[in-house]
Parts: sequence; structure tokens; C-alpha cells
Amino acid sequence: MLLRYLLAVPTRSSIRRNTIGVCVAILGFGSSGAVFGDSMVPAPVAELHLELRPRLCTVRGDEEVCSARVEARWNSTVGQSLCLVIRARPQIIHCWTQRREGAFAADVSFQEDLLVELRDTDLQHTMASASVRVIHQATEYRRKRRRPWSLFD
Amino acid sequence: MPVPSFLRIMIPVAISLSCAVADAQSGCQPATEECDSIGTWYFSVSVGAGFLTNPLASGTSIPLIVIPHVSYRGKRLFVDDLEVGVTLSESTRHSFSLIASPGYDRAFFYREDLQNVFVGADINGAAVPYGLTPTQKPKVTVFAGPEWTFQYEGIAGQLNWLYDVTGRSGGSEIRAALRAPLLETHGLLYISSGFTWKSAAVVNYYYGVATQYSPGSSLDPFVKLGYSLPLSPRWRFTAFARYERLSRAISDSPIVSDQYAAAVFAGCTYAF
Repeated sequence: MLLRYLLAVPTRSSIRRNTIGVCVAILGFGSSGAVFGDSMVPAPVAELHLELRPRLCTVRGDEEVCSARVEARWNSTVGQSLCLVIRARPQIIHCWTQRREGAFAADVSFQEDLLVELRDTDLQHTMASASVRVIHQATEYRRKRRRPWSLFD
Repeated sequence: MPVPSFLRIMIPVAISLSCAVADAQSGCQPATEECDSIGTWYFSVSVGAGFLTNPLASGTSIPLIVIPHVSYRGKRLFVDDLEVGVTLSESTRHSFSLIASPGYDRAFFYREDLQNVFVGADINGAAVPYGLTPTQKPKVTVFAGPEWTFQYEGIAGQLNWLYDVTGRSGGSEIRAALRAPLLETHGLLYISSGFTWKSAAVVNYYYGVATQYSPGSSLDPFVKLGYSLPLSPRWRFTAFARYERLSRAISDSPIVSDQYAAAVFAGCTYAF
């Protein structure tokens, strides 16, 4: 990740983003033990945590759709302005301004893993993501029991 | 209580079969074959007009009007109306199971017998015998034992060897039948034929009369012609006619007047 930011050739539109990225990367190293001068006081690293319920949805066969009320909860160590986006449902979006936590729920039908992201308010950067996994249980079949002796077979 | 000889034979056979073929699967392909999904209950009801004749003297025919059906398929357990079973081995053509099934003859004696539920309205629901009362009023019997079914090129076969585990008759039954398609277009015209063999103990339990009549075993062949036409994914037209010839062991009984038991039905079946 650090190399990506350091080696990327900045374009006019990406300068601001990459600058932030490098800062975040350096701060990240700082928090994990990089040496700073005594005069440098690193800003607190924002820890962002996103949790979804349910985490799994089990459907039988390949045809069935998982319909569930998906609840998303997030919290952060610092106040942030974020938007929650469901990747496969771009019409579902919910934003918060300078909050340290938030919750949102939506009824969603989906057949594949449902990816939920927390992005910045420009919707450009994904700050955290989580997904509801869809487990397809193969439907097993048995041959019908034939009862030719029976009156009603 | 001593273990009946029947069970002394069957228990080791069942365990051996179960161990030897525990992983056998039918490999049913739902797109091409008639399959049930495992873990599913199936409910349907047939509504129409028909009757089952009653061979007992002074017995009246049993109306067939509303006939519910329920079945369940587990990985090994299954339920088909009043029959339950456990499949020990299953392949694409063969299936070996242990089943428990009621003794069907009691339906001739009592309207409120479970087999007659829904097929006709009973005015007072009392246990009124249809015909002359034999030496003892037949109680509910349950027969249990191995079943072999097979399917080959549209022909289905069934062979049951069942023992009265309730101990009321102390006898056994063999039920065997084949079913073959005659004409298959949009609907299916088929024929079934088979027989029921009842040991002397079973025949005597139902049709014997104390000091007057002690019958031997019976062999009762039957033939059935049926037609099934799908009308929609849930509706199906069903019709059949079945004729069973009763052996002398049964028809010679003083409480029996007919030498046959026949059934006809035509109606529609709705699958829920």
C-alpha cells in the first residue's frame, strides 16, 4: 500500500488524494514504531470498525434469493463524515457528518455476497467494508418412491 | 419377552445392508427424472368421485371423494401417507428400505379407520362394523419389514415382506406389484399388476369365524389401469380403476359376500 502511494505518478486530480494517502501511510508506520523527532506529535490514528448483521445468508440451490434486513453499525475513534454504500444497490446510500458512530438498516434481496462500504463523502475512497456472505446449499434429491401396489400411487 | 424369529432375521440383515451401502445415493436428476428434494414435506389432495367396493356381507362401498396425501423425504427417512420407512440402500435403479405400514383390511370393517379419513362422511363416527362381526373385532395392525423397489425403463416394481409387529394377528403379508407405462403423451396411461399374499394367521384374524371358519393363507392378485394428466404445475387430472380378485380363503368366509374388491376414481389432484 505504501509503495503504491510512493511510486504512483501524481496527476492533477490525484495529487490531493495521494498526499492524504502518503500521510495516512506514514502515520500508519508511525503508529507501528517508526521514529519521529521529539517535536513531531503524531495525530491519533482513526480506527474505523464496520459490522454487519447478518453475516451469512444460506439459500438452497442456485435459484433462490436471499432476502434479509441487513443492519450496518460502524464506530470510529474520531468524528468522521462518511457515507454507507451497498455496492450492488447504488440507490441505497446513507451519509453521516462528523459522527463517531452510526447505524443503518435496509431490506435487501441478493443472490451473491453483499458488499457494504463506508466511503468518504465524495464517495471516492472506501474507508471500511464488510460483506454478507451468501452460502448456496446444493439441493439434494431422491428418486420418488414408487408404490405400484398402493391404491393411490 | 422373546424376540420374534422374524426380527431375529431382519435386524442383522438391516444392519448389514445399512453398513454396506450407507453412502449409496440415488443421484436423481430433477431435470430428467421424477425426484423429491430431501428434507421437504409434500402435501396434496385429490378431489373427485369414486368408490371402493366392500367385499364384506352387508358391507357398503367406501366413497372416495376427498383424499389427502402427505409425504416426506429425508436423507433416509420417508413418509408416504400412513407408511413410514427408512432407506438402507439406494441406487439409480434399486432401493432397499425398512417400512411400517398399516394392515389395510381393517378399512372394510370400520368407517372410522384411519385409512378412511376424509374419503367419506360418517354420521356419528361410531365404530360400527360394515359387515358381520367376525370372532373378534379387528384392531389396528401395523406391518413392518423390508421393501425392495426398483425402476427400469419406466417400469417400477415393489416387493414388501411385512410382519404384524402389533402381534394381533401374528402373521405376515407379501405385497408385490409392477407398474408399466402404456401410452405416454402429454398424460400418462399406465397399468399396474401385482398381488397380496396373506398368511393364514392374517386371513384368520380378519375373516375367520370362531368354530365355523378357519381359513388358510390367501393370494389375491390385482390389476389397475390409471391415467394421469398434468393440467398446470399444481393441478393434475387423475383417474384409475382397480380390480382385486380375492382368494377362496377370503371369499369363502361367512362374513364375505364378494369375490373381489374393486375401486374406481376420477378427479383432480392439487399439490400445495
